[in-house]
Amino acid sequence: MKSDIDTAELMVWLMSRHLARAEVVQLGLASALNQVAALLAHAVAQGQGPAVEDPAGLTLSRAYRSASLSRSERAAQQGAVRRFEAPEWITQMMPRLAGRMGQFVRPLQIDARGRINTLQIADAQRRPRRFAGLAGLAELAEIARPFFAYLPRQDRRCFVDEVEFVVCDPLAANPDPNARIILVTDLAVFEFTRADTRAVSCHPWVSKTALREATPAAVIVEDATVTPLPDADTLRLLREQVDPLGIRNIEFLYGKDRRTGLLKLYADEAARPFFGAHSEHRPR
Amino acid sequence: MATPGAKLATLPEAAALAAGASRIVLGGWSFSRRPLRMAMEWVIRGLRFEELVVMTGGLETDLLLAAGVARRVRSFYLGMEALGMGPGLKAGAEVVEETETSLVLGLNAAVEGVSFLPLPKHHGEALSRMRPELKAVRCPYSGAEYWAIPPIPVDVAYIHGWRADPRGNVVLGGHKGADRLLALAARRVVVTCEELVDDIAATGLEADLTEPLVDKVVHLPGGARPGGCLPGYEPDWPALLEYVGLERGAVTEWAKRGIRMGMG
Repeated sequence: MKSDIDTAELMVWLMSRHLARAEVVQLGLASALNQVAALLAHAVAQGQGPAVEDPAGLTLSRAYRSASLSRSERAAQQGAVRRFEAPEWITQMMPRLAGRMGQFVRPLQIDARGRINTLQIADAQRRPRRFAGLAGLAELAEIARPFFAYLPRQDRRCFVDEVEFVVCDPLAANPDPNARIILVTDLAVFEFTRADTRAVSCHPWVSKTALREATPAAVIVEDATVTPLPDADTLRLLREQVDPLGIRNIEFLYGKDRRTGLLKLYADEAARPFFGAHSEHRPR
Repeated sequence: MATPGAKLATLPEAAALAAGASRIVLGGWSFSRRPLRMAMEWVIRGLRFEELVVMTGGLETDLLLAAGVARRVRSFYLGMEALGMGPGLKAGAEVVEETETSLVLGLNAAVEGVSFLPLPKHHGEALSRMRPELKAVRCPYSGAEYWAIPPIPVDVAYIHGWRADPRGNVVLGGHKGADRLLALAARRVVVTCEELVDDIAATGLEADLTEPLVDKVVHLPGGARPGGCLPGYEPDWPALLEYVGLERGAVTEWAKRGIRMGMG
């Protein structure tokens, strides 16, 4: 039976615990869960956690703020210490952040070896269908240690035996023999190393059978423990301050539900005075 | 010496500079400061050019591909983020793939007038599979291998900013994107702006683009709608979502209607 916490909340909390160890978190475009997780990590650490680089404004900031999607550029400017130009961030700042940068990436596909595809998959007629692009994945794979990925809906189409196109190979890009990839999904948490790939923990409401069916055969799931849950204070912080509008839920909506959810979110954000910085209440 | 107002142009005059061009670049980033009114003008005039270059390609890119204005696009990211993909990208398009770094290097090579700039070999493995024309080179000092990224010279850069003066000094406002680099890589630069002021220096703001770089200035309030242009306005998601739901053949009418309604 599911407790008083939903999948989005659990994923955000799990992701935030990993991001909290980074010096800088890069939010990435169109990545609501990563954004909420980064802001939660920042709030839990009472501002002593990672600085946030937000591509919606290409800013670096430590401001306490709530998550935002339709007003993300304005939100990104809250407390920003600098607005970067894109070439400066991409070619000058990012290479300096090796081992200090954290970002959860949502791949189109990830395979049992941790290789990432964000570019293309074949359609029913075996023609390549293009998606987002190469972006900065090769660069990120080299500096993000561990490399983080997430899947809001894990199944055998996105967690695969072999990706159809390798955009980056984070284990190969990292010279450290103990290189790791952490994957957080709606079912479990996985760890990829050079030795093997295994489920570290399985969410309390997910059966091992369901996990096995949704996971490539080469991935070890049998000895996964049960994923721990956040405490009540952390959940309250997430729900009331970090993400009061439920931006985290957008990534779990598809088709018409997603369109409806996006319009509601836009209306909710527009109806409030700009709520980017929640300076009126200090995090714990 | 040019008179202060000599760079002021009408929208049709500025739009026409793109006709038949080999390569056009559009400024802005994500939903911020995209020259959407200019893109709509090209669509309703049936203008054509060869290649569109964008850092991130969103609504403006989708519209130009759907309407057949641009024959191909060069970018490292295409899509409307949380909103999905529009009819132009859904239909499939010719794409020259780039990574964030390779695109910056190619534009910088054009700015610096060099025949290539080196991309570390391991950063370009996926890129080289999509771009088999890329050549590998070896560093004469260290022996390290690189991909030689060729220059990306641009005919005209179109950039939408917040404030400009008639001499061509421009304050971008909001996200800076890569617009200064895009302008430097272009043979000609057209700026459309929300506010036209007599003299940027008198506003106390520092210009992001300066007058030697800028050839034409068009006063075009709302020129980034239905995207955003801070500090003035933010993206109009209902309008963006309406676009996402269009059939490809409906985009020209959407652009005409948008102009009539003052959207862009």
